[in-house]
Parts: sequence; structure tokens; C-alpha cells
Amino acid sequence: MATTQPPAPPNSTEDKPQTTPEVVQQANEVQQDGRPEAAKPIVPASVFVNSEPIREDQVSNAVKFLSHPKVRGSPVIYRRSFLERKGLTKEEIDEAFRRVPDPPPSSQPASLNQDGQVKPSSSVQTQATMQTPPPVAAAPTGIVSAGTLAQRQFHWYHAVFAVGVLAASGAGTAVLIKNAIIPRLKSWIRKVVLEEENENAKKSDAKPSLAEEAAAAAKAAAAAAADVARASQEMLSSKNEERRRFEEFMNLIDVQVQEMKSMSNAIRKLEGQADSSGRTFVDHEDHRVSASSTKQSYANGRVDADVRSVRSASPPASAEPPHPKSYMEIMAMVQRGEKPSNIREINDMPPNPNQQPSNPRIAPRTKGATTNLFTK
Amino acid sequence: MPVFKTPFNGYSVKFSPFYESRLAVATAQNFGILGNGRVHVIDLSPSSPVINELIAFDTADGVYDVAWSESHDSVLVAAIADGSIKIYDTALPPHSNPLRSLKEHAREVHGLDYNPTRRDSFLSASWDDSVKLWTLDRPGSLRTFREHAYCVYSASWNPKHADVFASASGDCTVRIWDVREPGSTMIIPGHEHEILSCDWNKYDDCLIASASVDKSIKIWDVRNYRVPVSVLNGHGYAVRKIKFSPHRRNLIVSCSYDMTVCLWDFMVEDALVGRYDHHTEFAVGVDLSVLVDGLMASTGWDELVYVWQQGMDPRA
Repeated sequence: MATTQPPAPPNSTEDKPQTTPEVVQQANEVQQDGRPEAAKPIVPASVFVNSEPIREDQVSNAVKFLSHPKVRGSPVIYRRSFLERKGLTKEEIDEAFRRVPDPPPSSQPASLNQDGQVKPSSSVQTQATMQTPPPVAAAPTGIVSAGTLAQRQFHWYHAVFAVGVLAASGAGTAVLIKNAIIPRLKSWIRKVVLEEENENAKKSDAKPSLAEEAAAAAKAAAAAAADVARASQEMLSSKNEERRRFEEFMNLIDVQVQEMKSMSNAIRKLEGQADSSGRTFVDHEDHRVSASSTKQSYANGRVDADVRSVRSASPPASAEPPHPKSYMEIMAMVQRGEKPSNIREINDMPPNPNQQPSNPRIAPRTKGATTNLFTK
Repeated sequence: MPVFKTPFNGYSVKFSPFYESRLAVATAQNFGILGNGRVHVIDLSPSSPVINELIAFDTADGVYDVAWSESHDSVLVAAIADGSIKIYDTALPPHSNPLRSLKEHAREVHGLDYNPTRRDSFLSASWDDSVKLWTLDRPGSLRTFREHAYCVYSASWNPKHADVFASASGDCTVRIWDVREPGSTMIIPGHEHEILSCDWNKYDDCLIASASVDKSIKIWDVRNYRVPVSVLNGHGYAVRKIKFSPHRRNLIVSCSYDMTVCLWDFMVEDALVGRYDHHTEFAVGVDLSVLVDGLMASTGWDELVYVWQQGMDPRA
């Protein structure tokens, strides 16, 4: 649709039309000799071709229109139609399309796949090499990357992947805590206790009081416990964060599922409409409205509403013309799926596909019956 | 003035280019929503105001338009709501008809126009957004013109330039095409609403008229198409069909959902020169005879076909 070749270069300027009738008359005279195919008028098509130069202001307006993100989601034919209705010529529209890089829809999932692959690998990397970076950080990065994935374009394998990432990060966190943090904690406690013992051994004379020892040990234990509590709280908060993000994620999934359901409903309805024997044209306004509403639910973006709203603004200046009552009855019947009873089964196919037309009784007038007159 | 009653709702009426008193009528059952169709070929009798039916052809789906061949006096083409085009020969008995059924359009065929200059080809305008070029002898279309973004309601050959035609569409544009070119050569964004009909002036090859749902008819000069030459207001509802007179340079006839048929002289300040309100439902088809100056015919959803002389009362 968008690939139209430029029309044949007009080989004349605007004052050609005055010579046109002469050329045509010549051609007609040639036809009179009974050789209609002999000489075609050389020029006249030039009158029916745009010879305006490209208007830069129109083109820049068109570029702005085409660059709008909502417009980019709409089918090309509607964008072209909108610009045509605004008075742009074919050349101006083609120029605008040239200037706006139009990423074909197939490239979007491709780039998404690339992103999808890069991010999870980085999160896996961070998990593997993580020693000191707190485990909390790995999980959010995994979730954030999964979140951005979900925002752009949603695929099921992204969901599975993201869930897997979450599980892995949770498991990794748990494992790390078990393996790394707790032994360190234990060793640290042991160290503290040992230090205390040494200290106590050193100052066995200085402070032999058991109470003091106990107090010191208790303090150390309390500090350790506090540390453990803090660590566990951190873990808990990170878990909460994880869970929250997971829920957000699930909500996104739900939204996508809802959208898919509504789309499939619309498709089913559309199929139903196509199959049903009725024709949804009432007046031309209605036809347009019903057709455009199905096309809206069909399309990828909501742009159709905007683009078509130019046209489906309330019908011109007046209400719909009053339809005959029985027309409304029949429309209602058809929309309910009932068939009017007066329809017969008719076979209107050609009985003999090779039947030749009968010989004409009147010879066609040399210039054609209709154009006979127009040389007056 | 003779009247013909059709069993189904009228959709289009066309005078034969060969016989002064012959017309073809396209009709569809149940207002064309759903049902059968019928093509009537009728003859005016010279003496009495009676119209006789010469022959009729039944179709499975509604007939939206009909066009007489310019090469064979007995052949006519019918546009069917199931997307097919049927070719009939009135000189053959009904059981030998139709000659052909051309099924290519994906949706209803709404308009037909036979090339008056070349006489060998015709155009079909369809709700599948395309226009197709056909000849009587080929089983498939020669060209498909697909650029419109919405239903194409009518197509019209330029009476002087055999390869140029125009199409009117629900995407609010009129497009000018040349069959020698791959795409349209001019786009006239004529109205803010759907354009239902277009026709070329028979005496000035650069003038084209468009009729729209916005109740107006606009006359355009293709050499300066940004501003209309004339805007004809007066109809109360959408204008369904227009036709330039084959006999008078400035005369154009139109029919509308306001149930009237109007006659206009677009070069005059007060353009409306005649109004006929004989129909009692939407007037959807109108035609002017090429052979008889001033003879006009109209049909509508009230299942009546009127044929009358300009200036007379159709119901007299």
C-alpha cells in the first residue's frame, strides 16, 4: 500500500489542457477510421496528475504526526488515510514516511528478546559472583529486570523466566545466609566469647566477679542477638519487598491476561459478525460507526480511536435520516440472528460457463453511444 | 408519467445506451440488508403510460447496481451484494442466464461503470476498499486498484479520456486514476464525511462532482482541486447519487435520503433548478437518458421506478 511508484512525469505544463481537446479530437478522428487502438492521446493524463511542489510545512506537520507514539502503533493505511484527508499529496506523504524511521513491528520482539537475554544473564552473573554484595540487591535487580521486561512486551516465557529468577534468588539468598552469614556470625560470636575468655583469664585477678563476666557475656550475646535480629529483619524486609514486587508482577500478568481475553472476545465477535448473514449498514454513519468500533477493538493501539475520531465525530450537522419502520424491524431481526422469512434459495450461477453473448443487433456507434454527444 | 412497481427495494436505475425506452433496474430484498435480489429490464411503451417488464433475473443476494454494455445492446452487468458481478444477456432466455459470474471482490460490490469511450471494459467499486477493471470476455479482472482506506462506493470513467477514471470512497476522498499508472494520480480530500458518488462533467473533462453524506455536492476542477468550483447545498440528508447531464453542460441531477431528486445548474448563483419529491422512501438511484434530452428516471426504497421528462411532474 505504501509502495506507490511516482506517476509518469508530466511531460507538459499547466497550459497543456488547452491543447488537449485538439489532441483528443485527433484521436477521435483516428478512431473513426476503425482503428481505436492506433493512436492514443499523447498527453492528457498530465491534467489529472498533481504537479504541485512538495510543501515543507505540510511535510513537517506530517512528520510530527507520524512520530507520535500512539500513531506508531496504528496500521499504515490509517496513517496514510489521515494525512490524505488533511490535504497532503502522495509525494508529501511519501516524503514524511521517509523521514520518520518506521520500525517494522517484527523488530520489536527481536530487540525485546535481546534485552531479555542480556538482563537475566547479568542477574545470574551477579548472583554467582556475589560474596559481599548483600543478597538483597540481587533479588531486586532480578525482579526489576523482569518488571521492565513485562512492561515492554509480555510473553509467557518471560513470566516463567521471571518466576524462575525470583525463585532462584530466594533460594540463593537462603543458601547464602545458611552458608555464609551464619557461620560468620557463629565464628564472630565464638571469637567474641574467646576474647572475653582471654580477657577474663588475663584479668582473673582484676575482676574475678562472676556477675561481671556474666554481664559481659550477656552483653556480647545481646549484641550478637541484635545483629542476628537486624540481619533477619533485613532478610524479612527484603522478602517482603520480593513478595510485593512479585505481586505487582502478578498484577501485570493479570492485566495482560484480561487484555488478551477481551481481544479474543472481540475477535470472536468479529468472526461472528462476518459469519452472520446480516449486513451492519444502516445509514452510512452507522456503517462507519459499527465498522470502526470493531476495527478499534481489533487494533494494537488505541490510535484507531484517535485517527478515526476525526471522522466518527457526530454525523454532519443533522441527525440520521428517518428510516422506514420496517427497515428497523429487519435490522433488529438480523442483529438478533433471525433470518427474514421471505428469502428464497436461489441458484444464480451461470448454467453454461462458456455461453457466448448473443450477436449484437445494433452496431455500436463509432464513437460509443454516450460519447457521441460530447463533441458538441 | 409511467411508474413501475418492483417487488423489492430499488437500488439503481440505468437507461440503455442503445434503446431509448429501455431501462435496467437493480433491486434488493429487505432494503438490501439480507435477502435475494432481482434485475429488471423494462420498456416504456410509446403510447400509454405503462411500463412493461421485458425480462427479469433473480439473484441469491441483493443487486446494488447495474450497468449496460456499450458494445452489446443486449448485455448488462449487475453488482451483487455477495461480492460477485453477474453478466446477463437479455436476448437469451432466462434459463441461459447469467452468462458469467465474476467472483473476486471480498465484499459487496456497490458500483459499476461501463467505459463509454473504449466500450470494452468496466469498473467495479466494492466495499472491500478496491476498484477492479474487467472486460466481458475475460474470466478475471485486468487490474485491481487498492488505495482507498475504506469502502469504495462508486467509480466513474472520464467521458473524454478513455484511461482515466475517478473513485469515491468512505475514506472521504475522491481519487483520480489512470489505468496506465500503477497508483492513483490525484487525491481530492473533498469532504469531511463519506463520499457516496462521483461523476465527470460530459463537456468539460476537467470537472468532476462529488456527493457526500454531509448533504452537499461539490464540483471540482482537477487543475485546481484545493478549492471547489461550486458547492451545492439543499438536500436534507446524505446525497446518494449524482449524474451530470449528457445534454446540458451545467446540469447535474442528484438523489438523496431526503427522498427527493434535485436538478442543479452549478454555474448559477441559485443553483437549484428543480426538485422532485415523488418518492416516499430514500431515493437511491437516478439516471439521465443519453438518447432523449431531458428524460430522467429514479428509483428508491419505496419499490417504485419513475420515468419522466424534466419539467413534468413524475406522478402525473
